[in-house]
Amino acid sequence: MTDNGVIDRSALDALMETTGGDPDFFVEMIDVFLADALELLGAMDGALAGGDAGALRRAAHTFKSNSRTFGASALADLCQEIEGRAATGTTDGLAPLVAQVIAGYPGVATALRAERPVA
Amino acid sequence: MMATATEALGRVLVVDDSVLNRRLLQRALGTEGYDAMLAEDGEQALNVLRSSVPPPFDIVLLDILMPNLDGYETLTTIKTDPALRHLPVIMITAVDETESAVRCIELGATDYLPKPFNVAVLRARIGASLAAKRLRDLELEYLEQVGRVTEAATAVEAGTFAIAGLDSVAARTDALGSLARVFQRMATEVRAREERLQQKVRELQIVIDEERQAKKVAEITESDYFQRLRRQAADLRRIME
Repeated sequence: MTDNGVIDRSALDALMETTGGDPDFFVEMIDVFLADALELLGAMDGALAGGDAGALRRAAHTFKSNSRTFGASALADLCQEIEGRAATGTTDGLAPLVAQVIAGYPGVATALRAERPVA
Repeated sequence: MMATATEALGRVLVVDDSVLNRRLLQRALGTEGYDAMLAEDGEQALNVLRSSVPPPFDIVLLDILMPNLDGYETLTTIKTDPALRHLPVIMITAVDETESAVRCIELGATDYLPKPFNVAVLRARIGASLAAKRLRDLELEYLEQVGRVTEAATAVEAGTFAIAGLDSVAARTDALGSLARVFQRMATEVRAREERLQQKVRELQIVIDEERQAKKVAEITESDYFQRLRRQAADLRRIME
């Protein structure tokens, strides 16, 4: 795990292998994750407010996938639960889970930023 | 570094609404020697696939949950389109989507790729699917060329056979190529024999025409009327003298 315990280092190693060991591309992917995350968290929050189970399911699905790729297993597990429950066609009772995802994200972002080489 | 189209092992269309997955797959495929193009959803993918015939890709990597047109609908459309249905489709699925992967394989998907994906698994699945596709392409080409030899036989009977029409089949190094070459040689010989016969017929026709002409001349010159005219002409010549 990373220093703050939110990222599985073996996932980062696997990701580095996927990128062909190119540190620049690895950093680019971290930036894509961080930029995408803000958008997806906003989409999840908005879908929850609007009661749009389909949109919530899709955003949770993508964020789950992205989080697993970067070894953020706790966030991914929460998103998986949101995705599964939203697939039943309702957003009822999902607010606390979405709140947990939103609360858990900054720790992941901090850990990933720490993986970037110091300029 | 992306492989160029000319040296690529194959052309892959990656369909995923996640920019992260698209970029990672593009990079991994490029590193493995494939030329990857990207689409954000099923609609975009179908537009690209239908942009030319045959489709400009060897394989499709398709995500399931996407906006606009999802993976199921896209897969179903591909598998019911005669121009696209032979294209291998590998579904990109999360580890918790095994049931979805099974459903996709029942709908005609070739295989599935769990994400986060592993480069070795990606390489193995793409390689196996492409090998199967290329075998099928060879079978289709073989059947198409067998059809051309059959058509050639019909054309010979109808007298419309063009030898050059079998050149590409005759260029094959297998038994079908030998058959096409034998067929071309026999057709050439038959044509030469026909031409010789036709020349003979033309020559005979000339002889017949000449004989007919001589007979006609004889018929006229030997007729009583002609003989009478001839005598009258001789009489006239004598009187004139």
